[in-house]
Amino acid sequence: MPEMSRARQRFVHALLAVVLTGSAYAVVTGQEAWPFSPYPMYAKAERQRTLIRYETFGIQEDRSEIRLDGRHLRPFIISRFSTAIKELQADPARRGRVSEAVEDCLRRYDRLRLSGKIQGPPLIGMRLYRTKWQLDPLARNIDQPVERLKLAEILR
Amino acid sequence: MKRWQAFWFAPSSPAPLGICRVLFFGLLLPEMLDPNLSLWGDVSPVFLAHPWFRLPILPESALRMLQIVWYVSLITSAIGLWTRGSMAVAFLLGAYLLAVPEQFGKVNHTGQIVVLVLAVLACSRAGDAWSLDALRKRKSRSRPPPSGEYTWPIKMVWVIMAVIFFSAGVAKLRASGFGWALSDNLAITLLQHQYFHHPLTRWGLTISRVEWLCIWLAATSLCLELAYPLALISRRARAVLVPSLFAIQVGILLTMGPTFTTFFICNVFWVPWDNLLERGRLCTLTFNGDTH
Repeated sequence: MPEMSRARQRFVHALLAVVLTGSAYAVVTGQEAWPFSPYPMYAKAERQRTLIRYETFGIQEDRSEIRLDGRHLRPFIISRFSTAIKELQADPARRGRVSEAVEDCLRRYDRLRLSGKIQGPPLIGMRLYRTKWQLDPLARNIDQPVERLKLAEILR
Repeated sequence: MKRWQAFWFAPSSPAPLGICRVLFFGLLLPEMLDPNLSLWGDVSPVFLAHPWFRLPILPESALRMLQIVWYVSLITSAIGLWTRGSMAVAFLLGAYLLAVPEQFGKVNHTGQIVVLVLAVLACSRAGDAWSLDALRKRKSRSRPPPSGEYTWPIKMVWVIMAVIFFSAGVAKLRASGFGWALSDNLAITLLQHQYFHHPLTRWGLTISRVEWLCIWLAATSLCLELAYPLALISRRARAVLVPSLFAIQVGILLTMGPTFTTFFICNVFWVPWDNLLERGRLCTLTFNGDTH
């Protein structure tokens, strides 16, 4: 193979410019610009020894609740679902659509359960809670949040 | 200028880039086998966030079809069959498919590096060695000579990783200042993850109770992220920074839960394969009693 041509070297420099410019744009604006990112994970320092998460529970025929996790909310994993609801709540234009989001989860749960892609009981509804924990140094209170606020309930 | 040219275009043999290609695509495939990906075609638009980041979400059946083609392109890229075309397809489909979940809720930060590395490899001659294509060509031609074509893609991946870690460090300083490290931030973060992430170990709980250790770990992590670009220009810095950041990501996995598998995979580009191949060759010669 002949040595690299000038044109090919210019192409490599152009590619480098794209990588650096895209990354600089994301960092300066603080915005995601796929596939560039400011990489803000864990950037905001935690100050309070509390934790707020959004939890979904299924309502079974006997009205008892069953906690739903990532297997039941597919394709969401729990952290993505919790953030999605947090962003819905934070956006004034979409805040009123939280019930619609839960209804969509219930519809998908039914469809995936009936097709055998989800193992779980039949549900007659779903509830969404905003749950708050006071952090314990040994995390002994995972099942004892200090607050559980119902945000939405869908019943058929 | 000479150093710049040497950094990017010093002639090197095609083997290290070929090995990186085999390992990158070979390790990426199992990580990317995601039974949930096509299901995003059935999720309500109510979950769509980020108005500045919107791609059309194809129906479930179309996503499934693209996913299959993508997996095939990852396999053919790994074994080096129709390598350039395979890597181009892997990049184009990967750029779209990996972006699909990121539009719902939050943006994870493990897919971007994959897309950027796929783009680099798609523009490279990574199939000239350690590939079926190379085996086929070798019947008619001799081995390709050393060239800058085999140097720049590896260096570009280094730059991408340096930019990512540096950006992460800058983001922490911008959002929280030095308080990010010099407070009980890490202790709280470690504790929070016990509640919902179910990490592999309970070490996070133990560490979170030792204040000085949390501050030391956070400060060290921040310094290493900000210093990572030094790995581009200094061999000594590279020997410290690359394994250290790898260890930090393993530590996050063990103590907090989140995985950085795509970053682990990209570390194959830092391995000095030419040195290892040379050592392996010498060992073989010595083992065979041929010391000439």
